[in-house]
Order: sequence, then C-alpha cells, then structure tokens
Amino acid sequence: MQPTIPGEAEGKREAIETIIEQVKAGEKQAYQAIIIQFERQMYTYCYYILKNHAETEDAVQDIFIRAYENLHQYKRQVSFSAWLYKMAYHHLINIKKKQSRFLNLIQHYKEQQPVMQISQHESVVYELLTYLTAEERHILLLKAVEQYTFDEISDIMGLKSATVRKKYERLRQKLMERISQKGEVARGTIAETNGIH
Amino acid sequence: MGQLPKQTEFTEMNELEEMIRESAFPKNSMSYRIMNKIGEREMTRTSTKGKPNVLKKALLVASAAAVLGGTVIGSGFVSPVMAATLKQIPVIGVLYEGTSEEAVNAAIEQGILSEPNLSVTHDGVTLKVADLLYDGTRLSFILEREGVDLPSTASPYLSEDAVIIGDSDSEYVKSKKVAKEDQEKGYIETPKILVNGQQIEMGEGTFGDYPQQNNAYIVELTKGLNLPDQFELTIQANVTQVNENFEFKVPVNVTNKPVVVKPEAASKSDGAFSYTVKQVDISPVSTRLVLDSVGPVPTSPEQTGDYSASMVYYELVDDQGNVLAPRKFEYFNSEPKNEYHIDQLFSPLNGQAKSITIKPFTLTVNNKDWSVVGQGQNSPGEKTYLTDLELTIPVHQ
Repeated sequence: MQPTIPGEAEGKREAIETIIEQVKAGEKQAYQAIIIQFERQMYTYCYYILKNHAETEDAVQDIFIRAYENLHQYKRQVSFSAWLYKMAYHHLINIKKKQSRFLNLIQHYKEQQPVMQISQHESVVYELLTYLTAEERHILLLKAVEQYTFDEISDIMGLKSATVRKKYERLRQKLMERISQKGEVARGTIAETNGIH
Repeated sequence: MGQLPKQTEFTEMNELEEMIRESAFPKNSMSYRIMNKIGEREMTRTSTKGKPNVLKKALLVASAAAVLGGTVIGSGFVSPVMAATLKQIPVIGVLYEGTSEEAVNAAIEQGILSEPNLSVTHDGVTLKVADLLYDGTRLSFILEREGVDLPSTASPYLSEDAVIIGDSDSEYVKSKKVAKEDQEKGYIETPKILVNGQQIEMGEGTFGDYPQQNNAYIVELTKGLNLPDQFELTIQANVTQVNENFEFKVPVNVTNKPVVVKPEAASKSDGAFSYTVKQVDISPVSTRLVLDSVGPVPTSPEQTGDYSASMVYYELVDDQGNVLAPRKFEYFNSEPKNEYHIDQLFSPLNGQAKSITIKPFTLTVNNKDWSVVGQGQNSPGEKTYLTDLELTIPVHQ
C-alpha cells in the first residue's frame, strides 16, 4: 500500500474541484489536467473489462468526452472521481452487451499488432479474472485501481454497501482457492510483484 | 459470516490489487486526442451559434441535454477497433467501407485520391506522405515512418505546459512529461496543415496512430473545410529528437467537383417534429448529409413507461435499395434535445443512383440502464422507422 500523507488526498480533491469549476466556467483547456489525472487508472479499469487495447482506447476517450459534456450535472456532494467512475461503469456495461460483435474484429486487430506487449503481470491478472463473474470483476477492479471503499463502490455500481462487501469476500475466497491450487507458481508470481514494477 | 480470513490472504489480496493497479498502461497520454475531440465540439457550436454571450448559454443548454451511456459503432477508421473492419477494403485505408473499386478508379481519375509518395529524411528518420484524399468534403492522408523502431507513431509525451493536479512526481506523469532532450527519438508530433500557405480552418479532425499498419500516422479532417478545387497542401511535422522540420508540399487538383445537392422544399414535418435537409454532398468516396431538426422526437406506443425514444437518426437508401453505411453511429441514450444539427458522413453512393431516400428512425432505450433494445451483432438496435417523415431527394451525378 502507498503510504498516505495526511491532508494529501484532501488537497488533491480540492485541486480537482477547483479545476472542475474552471472548466464549468468555460476554461475548456483546464479539462486536460483532469484527463491526465485519471486516464491511467481509467485505462486499467477499462482494459481488464474489455480485454483489448484498441477498444479500451475508444472507451476511455468516450468516457472522458461524456463526462465533459455532462459536467454541469456534477455536484459537489459526490466526489468527482466516483462520479466519473459511475459513468465509466455504465459505459462498460453497455459495451460488454454488444461486445460479441467485435470478437472477429479484435482477432483481426491482434494479427495486425504482433508487437502488442502483454506484460507478465497482465497475463496473470487476466487469468485470475476469468474465474470471476462480470460483477465481481467490476468490484475487484474498482477496489484495485482507485482504492475505493465499499461505500464508494456501492455508489458507483448501485448496490448496497453490505452486498458489495459480501461479494468481495466471495471473490476473494475464489481467488485464494485458485492461487493455492496453482501452488507455488502463482504464489511466486504475486509475491514477486511486491513493491516493484 | 464464516471464519475470519487469514492475515496472509489479506496481504495477498493487497498485492494482487496493487499488481492490477500497476499493470496495464496506456501507450500514450490520451489527453490531447480527447481535448482535440472536445475542442471540435465547441468549434462546431461556435460556427453555428454565433455571439459570445449567447454562446455560453447555448453551450450550457446544449450540454444539459447531452447524456450518459453513449458509444460509437460504425465504419470509421477514427477508432482503432473500427479500423480493423476497413481491412476488408481492397485499396487503402483512407477509404470508407462500401467503396467500390469503380469508385476508387473514378476518384483517382478525378484527382481525389492520390499516392504522392513524397518523402523527407532527417537524421535517419524518413516520413512519407503515402495516401492522400480530398473530395471536397473531407481531407485525409497517411504518413508512413521509416528508420525508427517504436511500437507507435504518435508522440506519447505531454507538452511542457500541461497542468498536473496533485502528484507531479507520480510514475505515470513522469513517464509522459519528459523534457525534450530526454524524449525517445522518432515519435511524430501533431502535424501542422497549411492550405496555400495559410493554416487550415477546420471544424473536426483526427490525428494519430493508424492502427492497421505499423509505422503509420493518419490525419483526417471531416468538418468545416472550405477549400478551393486546386491548392497547395503543406504538411509540417516534427519528430521527437530530430531538429529539422519535415515539410511536404503536395499539389491538390480535383477536376470534378463533388456534386452538392441543396434541395429546395426539403422539409418534412409531422406537426410537432420537423427537419430540413440543408445539403447533400456526393463524391465518389463519401456522402455527407447536413440537416436541421426541431421539435420533440415522435414516440411509438412501445416507447413509453420504462422505455423511451432516442434522438432521431437518419438512414440513407438509394433508389436501388442500397443502404449507405454511416461512418459512425453515436448513441445518445437519454432524453433527446429539441434541436439538432446533423452533419454526418456515409459511405459513397453508387454511381448509377438517381435519388436518395432519407429514412428517419429512432431507437428504443431502456430508461433504467440506457441500453438499446435489440442492440447486438451487426445491429445498432431495433429501428422504429418514422415513415411519415421519409423524404426522397433526386440527385444528378
């Protein structure tokens, strides 16, 4: 876990709010800072749901554009981050519904991209995610990429907080079973990543 | 709940989550590409809406009606996914799906499509203007790169003045915001485009990696172009760690001006909702439909309660029954706006066609989750055709 400096998160949140106000007031260019702030984690979230880099780029682009278009609807009661991810969650669900139609294309695209790099971590995460249901994947990814609390995840996904907690517990057990079945290999891979990238 | 999980299991979950967090990277910062898209939106509005004060208000109103749950499908090569579909097309990537060989030949004859093969080499890096298309309504070209071994062409770096919120020391920011002298050599920065020596004016454009081909970069300008039939196109590109500018001058000479149909009395109304066709541009390689609509979207009996009608979309069909493919299909699954300005590109019209029929339709949206009824393989969703609002426009090609 990253050590948290007291006040740091609060300060960042304030900085984000300030920028949102600027954008709302017409300083369009200020929105770039918002994209830079969130794009990496957003990419990770979308990527592990969509499992394809090309489609992930499309999705991330669409999500940030929608967010911009809807910015006036954003109110300070929720954090901007949770608001953005709520939009992303719905967007990803919509894409998944019609993803089957893309499968052939993706195959094509992969053939075209022999240099596409998949890191060792990526493939391990990939494999573990296949054991989870779609809903469990969203819970795990939201918790992982933005380190959201169960309350925040419940808000994003429209579930009760207690339900999210229960589901998380279930998925954790599933993953732990998988890892112990795979024995030393998987365990070793995960341990290796500790603190390093 | 059952027994408490062991401490080690918690640790492992933390490690797994961290691994997820650290593993999948975007190649480039997408912020320029996205800002470019956003910029276009406002530019389009600026040109149609006018005065500054009114504009601000108009923007708010316009965005108030914009909605969640949208996505784009269709046949554009803007999107890397969609780019893959275009691989089917025999010749080159600046063409749209549904372009016939016949049309390609006509386009070459008329000077619309060319392969200038101009190349410039500086410091071991070569850029070449491979394919160039200008048909009076859009301008596209592909830059090919040689002498560089990098997985992508578009520069992944943020400019030095990009604003960073919070931790400017984060690994991600550090990987994108790199001083010029430390950048990797060989990435193409957003090129400048001049027409007869003047910066080009445009309303919408795409710049970036052309995913179907390694070492290729695509530029496509699709809206707000107002160019003569003959001009000198200048492309100025910079490449990271190369001091000299890559400059290309390409003469463009379109002999047959694309047919622009500005129909008279091209309005249809059902009393509440109406639309007026402003213009149809017909070139061998694309078709553009420009229209304005006003009024509430007509709804069918199925589009009530938990369901509602989407905005009105327009299908183009020629007199032989061929449906033209839209370049992209945008979903806006929520309360539609009262006014729309549609400016959309479609695949080209067959050379023998005598007329185009505009068939307006809506999709049915589930209010709960913005899903579209019937959306699936090869279908944007179940279409409810508004047959009272169909309109046929004669074309003389």
